[in-house]
Amino acid sequence: MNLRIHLTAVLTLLAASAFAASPEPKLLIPDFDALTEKAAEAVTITLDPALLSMAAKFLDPNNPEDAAAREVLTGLQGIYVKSYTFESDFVYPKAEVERIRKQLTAPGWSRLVEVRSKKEQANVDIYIALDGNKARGLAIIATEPREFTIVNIVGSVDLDKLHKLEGKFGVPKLELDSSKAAPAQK
Amino acid sequence: MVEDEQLARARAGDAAAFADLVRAHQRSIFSIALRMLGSRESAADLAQDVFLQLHLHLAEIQSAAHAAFWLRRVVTHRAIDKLRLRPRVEMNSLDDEPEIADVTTPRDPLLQRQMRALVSELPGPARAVVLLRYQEDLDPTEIARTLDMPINTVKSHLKRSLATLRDRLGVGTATAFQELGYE
Amino acid sequence: MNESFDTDLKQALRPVDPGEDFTARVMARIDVANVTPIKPRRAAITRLLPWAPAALAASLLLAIFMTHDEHPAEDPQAGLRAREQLLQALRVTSEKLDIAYQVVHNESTAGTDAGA
Repeated sequence: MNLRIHLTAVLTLLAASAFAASPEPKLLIPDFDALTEKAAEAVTITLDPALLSMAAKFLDPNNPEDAAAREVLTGLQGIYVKSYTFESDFVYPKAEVERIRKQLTAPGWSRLVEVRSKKEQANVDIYIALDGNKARGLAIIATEPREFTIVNIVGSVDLDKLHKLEGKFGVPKLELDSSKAAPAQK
Repeated sequence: MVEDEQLARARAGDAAAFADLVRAHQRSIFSIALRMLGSRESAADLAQDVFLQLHLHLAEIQSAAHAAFWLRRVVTHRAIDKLRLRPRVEMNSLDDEPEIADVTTPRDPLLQRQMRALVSELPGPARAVVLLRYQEDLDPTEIARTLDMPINTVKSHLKRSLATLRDRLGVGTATAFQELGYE
Repeated sequence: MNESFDTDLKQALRPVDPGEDFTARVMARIDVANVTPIKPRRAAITRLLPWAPAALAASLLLAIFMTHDEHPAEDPQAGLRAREQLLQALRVTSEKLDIAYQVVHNESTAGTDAGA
């Protein structure tokens, strides 16, 4: 009897912790309406499952960029991007960016990489939402003195495929100074 | 007048008329894309996309002049957007730009090649301003409308960019800018 | 002298040809973007209901078309816009990931060199 209760308790705890660790992969990203007016350039992209499915139908398999995008799309349920560029340094609200970062401290989210580039004053943090050993979401927060970018991808994310897009989209490799990168943290 | 009729036929679904519209503007739009992005492949992709967008938005185009304005506006905005997403490294190859065939003898082909290379090093918005001024022959007011940019910013970009070009080419001083009437 | 600089710059930036097949490629892409009608479904329905009164068959067909989730794809403008946004989103993501990959690669290479 005691053993049964003990096992039940353990199983309940495990189930509870698994449930608690199940992350909400879709972040709450503010509208940043006020920023849009201040920004030299503003990019806002909201692609929910319906729009992703629609976009997929218009990808041209003969175009390398389109073909690469199609590969990445498998299993994705949403892509949300907000990116702002300014003509002066640090005019964007750091507090708002920190509020988004705070959502990524919730259980289930792990910071994969933390990049700090002294030369370009560029910071990039990449977070992944794990459910067991399955990736359910990705978040990137990138800041520079005159730019900040938030990317939130919902669904089964294949980081390798995403990274391999780089050559297809013609983005050349950056030359960076010696910046710190933190290893995966839980 | 002929161009407005062509536009009307294209709006009515005449594919041949739309193809004529493309042919009328393709050099200009492709060249803006090429000099902004630095590669023929990227430029061709972007230019094709822009014409595709024009086809989708034909109902909103009011005249041939509006079509020209619309095309320049979309290609420059999208090229600036693409450039902004690129890291700040030199990307273009001089070999990507074909030698310009001309019926008259170029005044100094090497100088012109150097000029194109220097223009390609300008930041995105400044580069767009220079192209719209010198390739498309727009005045600062028209450039400001095309780029959604305050006119003083346009003049500022022109002044600084021309000074940079002159300085790098060892051609003259920035006071020449005043003589061009942009102060 | 200044007019000469101006003239040289204008000559340097004269438009160039995109190539002979540019227009053809644009027109081909416009053809690809056109939507094809949903014929197969209609054919299946009429095969299933050969005995149904015409009015019933017509209303059933209408109900199916109205709930068909391919309807959004019939708007090429929206579809191409979505494609454009998708590609832009992936470009932004790829660029930021590349920064991180570069740094991690540099760190691990430095570590290997140090240990050698």
